[in-house]
Amino acid sequence: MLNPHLQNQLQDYLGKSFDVPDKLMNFLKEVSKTYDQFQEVKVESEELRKTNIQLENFVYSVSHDLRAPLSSMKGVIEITQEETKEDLTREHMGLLKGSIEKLDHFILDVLDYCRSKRLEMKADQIDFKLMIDDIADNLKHMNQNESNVDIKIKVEQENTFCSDKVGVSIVLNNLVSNAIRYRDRNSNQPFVNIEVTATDERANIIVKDNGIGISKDLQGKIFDMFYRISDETDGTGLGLFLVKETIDKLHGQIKVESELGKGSVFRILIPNINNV
Amino acid sequence: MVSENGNPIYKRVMIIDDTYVDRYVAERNIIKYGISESVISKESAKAALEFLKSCESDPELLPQLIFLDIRMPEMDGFGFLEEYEKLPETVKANCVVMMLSTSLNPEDHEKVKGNKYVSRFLNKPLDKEKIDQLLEKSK
Repeated sequence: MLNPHLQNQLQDYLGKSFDVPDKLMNFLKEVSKTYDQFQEVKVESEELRKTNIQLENFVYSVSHDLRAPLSSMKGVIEITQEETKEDLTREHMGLLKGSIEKLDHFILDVLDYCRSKRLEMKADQIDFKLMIDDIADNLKHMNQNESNVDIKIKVEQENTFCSDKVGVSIVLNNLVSNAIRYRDRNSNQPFVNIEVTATDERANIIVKDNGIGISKDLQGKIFDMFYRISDETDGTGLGLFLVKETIDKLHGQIKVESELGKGSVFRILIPNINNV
Repeated sequence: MVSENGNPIYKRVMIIDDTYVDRYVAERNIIKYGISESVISKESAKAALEFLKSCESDPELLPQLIFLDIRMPEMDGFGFLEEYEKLPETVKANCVVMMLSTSLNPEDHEKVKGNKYVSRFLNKPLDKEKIDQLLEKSK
C-alpha cells in the first residue's frame, strides 16, 4: 500500500488507473514507508519541543514557588534582626537567615542545572560588558555588604560574538560568585578580576581571584557533582560541576590554576558561533 | 533612615500582593525607612484596580508608587498592568510601578522591559538594602 498522499500525486501524474512495473512499485513502496516514518518523526519532534517548553516553565514555576516562602521568611527575619534588643535573638535570626540563604542557593543551583540540561545551543548575540556588569551588580546585592570584594571588569570586544546567552551567563555567574564566596576573609583587599577578549573565533575569559585557593591534589575533583572542598562555606557542590557541563555544551574549554592560600585562576575558551 | 530632609519621599505608596507576610514586610519597611507616609495595601490586582478607579475624582488619594507582585491568583501582575493601562491619564499621571517578585524567569523580566509604567524589577523581600537603592536613585 502506498501512502495516500503519494498515491494521489501519482494519479495526478499518470492518470486514474496507472500501471507501473513491479520493480518500480517496490521502490515506490519503500519511498512511501520512509515518507510515513518521516511524518511520524515530525509529529514526535513537535511534541518533544512542546514538552521541553512545558518543562522549562515547570522548572521556573517550581523554583519560584519554593523560593517565595523563603523570601517571605527572610523579610520577617530581617525586621526582627533590626528591631530586637536581645543579642541572642539577633544571633538566632542570623542563624536562620544563613540556613535560608543556603537553601535558596541550592534551589538556584538546581534551577541552573535544569536550564543547562535542556540547553539547546542558541546563537544569541552576547555583549560581554553588559552581561558581566549585570552579573556583578546582582552578586553585589546578593552578598549585601558582607563582602568587600573588589570586582574589576575588563572587556575587549569589537566584533559580534554569538553563543548561548543562558549558558555563558551560567558559567560566568558561577565563577564570579565562587570567587566572592571563597575569598580570603583575612585579606584586606580581596579582588576578582574578570578579563574577556572576544575575537571572531573565540572568547578568552579569565576569572582571577586572591581567595583561599584550591590545593593541587584536589583540583582534579572540583568539577565533580556534589564535590565540596570545605565544609566551612555554604556551597552545594553543584556550581563548578554546572560550569563544566555547560562549557562542554558550548564546545568550550576550562582550565584551573590555583594555589592554596594564594588564589585561583580559571581560564575559559568559548567558540564564537557567529557565521557558523 | 529617611530622605534627605527627614520626610518620607512619597505621601502614598501602594502594595499589591496576595501573600500576607510579604505585604506585612513591605508595609513595615516602607514606613520605617521613610519611603512613604502611608501604605495602601491590597491583596489582589482587582481590589487595587477598584481602589484606583474610585480615586479618579479625588486624585489626592492616589498612590505615587505601586509595588506589584507578579504571581497572584485570578489576575496576575501582567493582567493588572493591562488593565492599568486603560485607566484614565489622571490616575496614572503621577505614579510609577515597580515589580516586586521572586521570579527568575527571563520571560517575566522581558515582559515588563518595554512597559512605560514599570520603572524597575525588584527581588523580594523589600528590605532595607533595596530601599536604600531606591532612595539612592531618587536623590
